[in-house]
Amino acid sequence: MRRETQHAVLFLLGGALVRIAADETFLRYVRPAQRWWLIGAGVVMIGLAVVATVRDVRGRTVPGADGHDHRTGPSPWLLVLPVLVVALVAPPALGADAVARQPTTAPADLAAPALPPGPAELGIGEAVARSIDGTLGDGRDLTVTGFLAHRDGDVVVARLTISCCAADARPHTVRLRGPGLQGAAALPVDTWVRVRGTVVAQAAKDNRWSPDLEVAELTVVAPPDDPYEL
Amino acid sequence: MTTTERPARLNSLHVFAGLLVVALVLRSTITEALAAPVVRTVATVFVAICVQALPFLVLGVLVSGAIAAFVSPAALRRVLPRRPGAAVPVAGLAGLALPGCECASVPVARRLIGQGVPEAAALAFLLAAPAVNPVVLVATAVAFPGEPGMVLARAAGSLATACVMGWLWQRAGRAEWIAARVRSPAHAGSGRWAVFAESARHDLVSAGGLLVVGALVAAVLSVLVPTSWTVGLADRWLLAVLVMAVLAVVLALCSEADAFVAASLSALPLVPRLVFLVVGPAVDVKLVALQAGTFGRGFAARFAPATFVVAVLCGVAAGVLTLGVR
Repeated sequence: MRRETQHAVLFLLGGALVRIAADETFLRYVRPAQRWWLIGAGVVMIGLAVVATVRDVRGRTVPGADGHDHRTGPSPWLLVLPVLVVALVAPPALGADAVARQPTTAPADLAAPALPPGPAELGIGEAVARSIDGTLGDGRDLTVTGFLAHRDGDVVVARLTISCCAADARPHTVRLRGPGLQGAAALPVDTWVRVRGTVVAQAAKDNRWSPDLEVAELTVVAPPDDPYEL
Repeated sequence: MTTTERPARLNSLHVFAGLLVVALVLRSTITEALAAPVVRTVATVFVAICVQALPFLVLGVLVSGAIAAFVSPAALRRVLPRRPGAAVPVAGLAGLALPGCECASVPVARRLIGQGVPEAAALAFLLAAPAVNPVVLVATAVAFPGEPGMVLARAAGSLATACVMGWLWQRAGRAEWIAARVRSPAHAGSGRWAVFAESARHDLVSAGGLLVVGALVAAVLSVLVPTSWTVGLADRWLLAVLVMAVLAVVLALCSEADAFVAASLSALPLVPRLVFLVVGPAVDVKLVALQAGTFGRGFAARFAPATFVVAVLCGVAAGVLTLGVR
């Protein structure tokens, strides 16, 4: 690959990183804390590309008088791929397909303080963890927010938990039950909903870490900026 | 690619510009082709791995550029013990100082060899740095709050893998397995800062493309080979060790995140999950792609399988010694 092309690709890749970190797009892929890492990396890439271009134009660099850098091989071409995928498609956050594809896994060991009695609004990961350790209890009035997914014939409200990037996503789900289920079953998967109902935490023990929720009220909501839970 | 100097001939810049135009024109077709849920899942995981790993790669090439420009071979020789056998564990422990995941350590290890560090020591650093640094060990402690032994076992297993591979290379490794370009000094330039900028840029462009290959393979495999493999392995200890070792290779998780995935597979015994943590930072598809491009295919074809076997054995040994058979 010619040096000019390498510089152009590097410049675009740096630009793509800064671009997705400039708004909320990067939250589809990584944790919020990584924003400044992305901006820093993008700026360094752009800087290296600009410095090399300026030096080439001034004739300060030596390698290959024909303008080629023979030592890099064909691989720099592949850097174009993430640029194109981000610029053209910007794939959405993982959703119902990823949930259906993976078995649910155990929640993190919370060791959280007991919940005060009465209605509660929890993240789905926390609701699952509290169902397992017994701090949620049966019959409580619980509200959760997540996207709809189908699994093994059940309708579930799901959130994916990520620690670093979407590649390490683990699904946590609450299974919907009761007459209110009809409304949820009619909606397409990946619809974001806020569901209030009565929790059956016991169910989590036999249903692969997925407690049941007898639906009382279901509202379609806008997707949050950060679709994942930590 | 052309070798002519006549400006009229097609060169990579023209191809690149043409590619961008075609992509823009066909944008809606491409988006439609990617609309199937499984393809979108692969695309998201692919972009996620790239986006997550690129800042670490940038950190790695900045360190490697700094080594090329500001650290003389003589200074490195003074720091490391003279005998290569003793230099291996020292280089492994030096990995504590690079708080990144595996992508950062490949360009750094390459420059260390370029600056005359014994190969065995540089390879020990390559294997140890992503696994024994403080960020990764703290993440492991957070992921396994009830099992402090996991942190110790992980550090011991990874350090042992690095040292064994270093000593193995010293006994059986041949210099010609590593591509000759690795040993060539950094680009000549008109000053240290020029050497720094050009080395960092060159390493970034050549390693970045390989990272993309690795990310693509890992994204496809992670969808084809889901974690449902692990269902039903609770009572089969040995099989669980093997499956978790293979999963570590194909999932190519960042070493700062793999402990959380291992913790979530709570139906499995503890030692197989430890093996997952020891193998992952030492050998996975993204790392093999990076090594093949950086050190040569002949190197990766020998080094990766050997590392896999050594990492599994060291992981099992460290696990059984610190945690027992569970």
